[in-house]
Amino acid sequence: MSAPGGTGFLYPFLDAAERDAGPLLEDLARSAEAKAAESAALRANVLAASEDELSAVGLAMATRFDAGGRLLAMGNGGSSTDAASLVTLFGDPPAGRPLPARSLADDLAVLTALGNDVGFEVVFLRQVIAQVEPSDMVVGFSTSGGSKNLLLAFDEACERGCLTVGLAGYQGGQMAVSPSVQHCFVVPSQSIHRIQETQAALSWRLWEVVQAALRPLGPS
Amino acid sequence: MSVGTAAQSAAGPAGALDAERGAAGAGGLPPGFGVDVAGAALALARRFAHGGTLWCFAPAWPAHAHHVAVEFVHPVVVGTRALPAVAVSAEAGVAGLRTLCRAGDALVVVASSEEPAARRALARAPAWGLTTIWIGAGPRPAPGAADHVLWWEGEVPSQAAHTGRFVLSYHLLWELTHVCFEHPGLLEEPQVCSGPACVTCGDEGRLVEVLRLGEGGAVLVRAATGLEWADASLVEGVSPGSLVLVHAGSVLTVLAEGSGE
Amino acid sequence: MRFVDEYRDPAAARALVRRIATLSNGKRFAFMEVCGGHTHTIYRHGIEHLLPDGVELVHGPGCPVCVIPMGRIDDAIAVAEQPGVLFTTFGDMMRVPGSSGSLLDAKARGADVRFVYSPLDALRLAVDNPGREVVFFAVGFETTAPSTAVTLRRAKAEGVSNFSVFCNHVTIVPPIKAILDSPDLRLDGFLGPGHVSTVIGQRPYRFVAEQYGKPLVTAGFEPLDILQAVEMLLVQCAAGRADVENQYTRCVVEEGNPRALAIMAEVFALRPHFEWRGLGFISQSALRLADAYADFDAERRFAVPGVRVADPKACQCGEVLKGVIKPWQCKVFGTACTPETPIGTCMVSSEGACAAYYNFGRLHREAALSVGARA
Repeated sequence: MSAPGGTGFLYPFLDAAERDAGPLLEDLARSAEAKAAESAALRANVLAASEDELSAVGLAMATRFDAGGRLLAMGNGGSSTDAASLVTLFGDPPAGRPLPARSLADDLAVLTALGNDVGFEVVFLRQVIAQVEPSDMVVGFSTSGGSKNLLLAFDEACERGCLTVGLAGYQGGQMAVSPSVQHCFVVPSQSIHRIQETQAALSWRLWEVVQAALRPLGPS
Repeated sequence: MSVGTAAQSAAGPAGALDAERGAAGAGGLPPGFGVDVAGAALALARRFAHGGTLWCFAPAWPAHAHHVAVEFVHPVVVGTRALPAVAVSAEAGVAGLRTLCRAGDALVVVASSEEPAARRALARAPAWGLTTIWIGAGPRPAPGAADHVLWWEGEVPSQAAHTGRFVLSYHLLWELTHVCFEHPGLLEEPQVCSGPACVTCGDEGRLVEVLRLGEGGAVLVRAATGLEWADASLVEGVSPGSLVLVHAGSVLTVLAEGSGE
Repeated sequence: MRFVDEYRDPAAARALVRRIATLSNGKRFAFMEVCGGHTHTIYRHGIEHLLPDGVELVHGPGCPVCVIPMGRIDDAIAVAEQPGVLFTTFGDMMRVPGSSGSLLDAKARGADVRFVYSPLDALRLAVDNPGREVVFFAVGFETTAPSTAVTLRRAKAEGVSNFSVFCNHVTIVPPIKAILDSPDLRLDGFLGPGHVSTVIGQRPYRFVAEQYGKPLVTAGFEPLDILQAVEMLLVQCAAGRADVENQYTRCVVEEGNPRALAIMAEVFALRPHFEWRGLGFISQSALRLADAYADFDAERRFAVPGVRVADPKACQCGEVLKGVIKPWQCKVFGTACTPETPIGTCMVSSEGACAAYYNFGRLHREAALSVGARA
């Protein structure tokens, strides 16, 4: 049942008579390879360009962890899961020392209470006000760089003396220019997926630097 | 057949990213991964097209289960449809999944091949009538442990979970699944069987899960086709949750719990 | 590898296909799958098209319906047509032709013939219909015999007097031995039956390796299982080994199911010999009810003709079952003998080698013929 009137070539998606999945599967496999190659290239470029700042941020974070600081991560949607992954990596690492880390998107009671009673823009801000100390570190994931609730939380955290780190995509959005985001790693891509994949690699690298820079435990 | 590149890091998992920084533009997928994720995407699209729900389970890394679910429910690309996908928490586990899932659904698991809860869930999935996709790293699961196995074989699971390997895997799965919706003719389940198979001559043995014990050795079991009664007087150690093989109304054997095979 | 895309775990299947090609290394191998379920999987999933030209799967006598001789069908129909009888049977038995029609024909003539899924369903019919004589047509290998045994023990315990069994259970090991003794056969190994082995375990197959020097690998029923078992056979061949191995470890354990074996020993006795369609008489290859269960034996309760009927002349089921010829090489395949009008039993059950080939293989017949020509 091709589209009538010879328009089938224009609207192949109307063609329900397609039965051989072979060509589609070949296309999909090629597409997967191409996307993965794009992802790998982006990751390599961003890691190379960010190495110096990653080292600096990692050292600063290690110093804060040594002094009893805690890591607080935040993000919306898929980025909240990337924040949760970062928290797992720091808090329950595959190797090295577990460090105090938690996600501000974890507690559904707090999140829904603030979101419902006040507004979703303050769900992270109010937690920062209530819980954050000057020695803490606040890390936020936003592919657009423009999430209002992250920006408000960054402002407050910065004001309190925290170390603030942002991971953004596209051109970095507000996070790239906000003075409250002391370090902003921008993944220059138009694809949210490719951005998130590279943000994961940045998180891993940051964790590696921190672990290497930590002062040994116990009295010297 | 395989369009994968051989650009796997030779430096081992620990130095994977270091090595990659020196190899910009490398494909980075394990050999055959592209073909595997293509097949998984088509299978998943077929389940969605027939009203199935995608259950997402990552007992050791719950964030990945949530990421997969939000990917499908709230797509980042304009014009793509929202699809039913739900993360099952590690606390809910196999018991939660058992209660929630229905025959015709799909299950994506992000876990190492050693993860006990993942193995228990996947071993039961045929009895629940689920199409299964297993994303992971490290030693490959036994052959046939899931319908589709998307694997990063040369990597350490606890590292692959954080370097973006798994994120890339389910991003590709999501992107390719939506391409399949542009091919409605291919979303019909393939018709490979022509005619009923016979219980005896086919030496039939159906994998089912015991739901509860009845009287006189009878057990109520859950099969992909629905609930039924079977006689369990020929076997020992059957309890609710046991995976068993039924032939002509009799339980012939009890499978090792969650062997994953 | 178009078929592979629809398999469970296609990645593992592709790796196995590559391994099989490497291991076979252009040499010729013939392996027999003795189980009808395997034959069904092989045809349904096009496994033969994935194997190298030299690796041939020979379809054995593993369909218990296909091997029931015509005379036994005539006996069953004679019982079914007696007044007051409610005759029960598994689905595929309904269409198997006797010398004058099938049970389905008897049903059309007015006999009360019903399809059941389990012998326990037949017993339930007896309890629910105390005024009727309910007879169960028991057929199947060691996989099915335990269900019949459980049913008979329950019938005896509950004193159900209007229930009996027309026992045609056969055993899988004797025909394997008969095939190994056949002079016109060249096999390099066997795929052992999967679900039969959940009952009998692995020990009964040891003679295949120890006395005949052939490897045997018990296999499951997914395409991946078959491929893995073929790979395991080739590994043995390459190493010059002949062992009994188990691919289907998720369901089959070495000692089988001792409880099932014990109840079979209680309820059944070996027949001195039994006729297999196409294979002739094979000694100690079938079961009858033990004397303690004589009251439930339909052969003793009803007068059965017990006449031996020769197989149809044109039909070459015997040679197909022994793997001497391929289904399409039979004189009547696809012409006089089709699933709609079967002459031989191999065309009746969908697991029969001929019906399986007819249903799934005919589109590829040209290709298959060229392979056959090389054979």
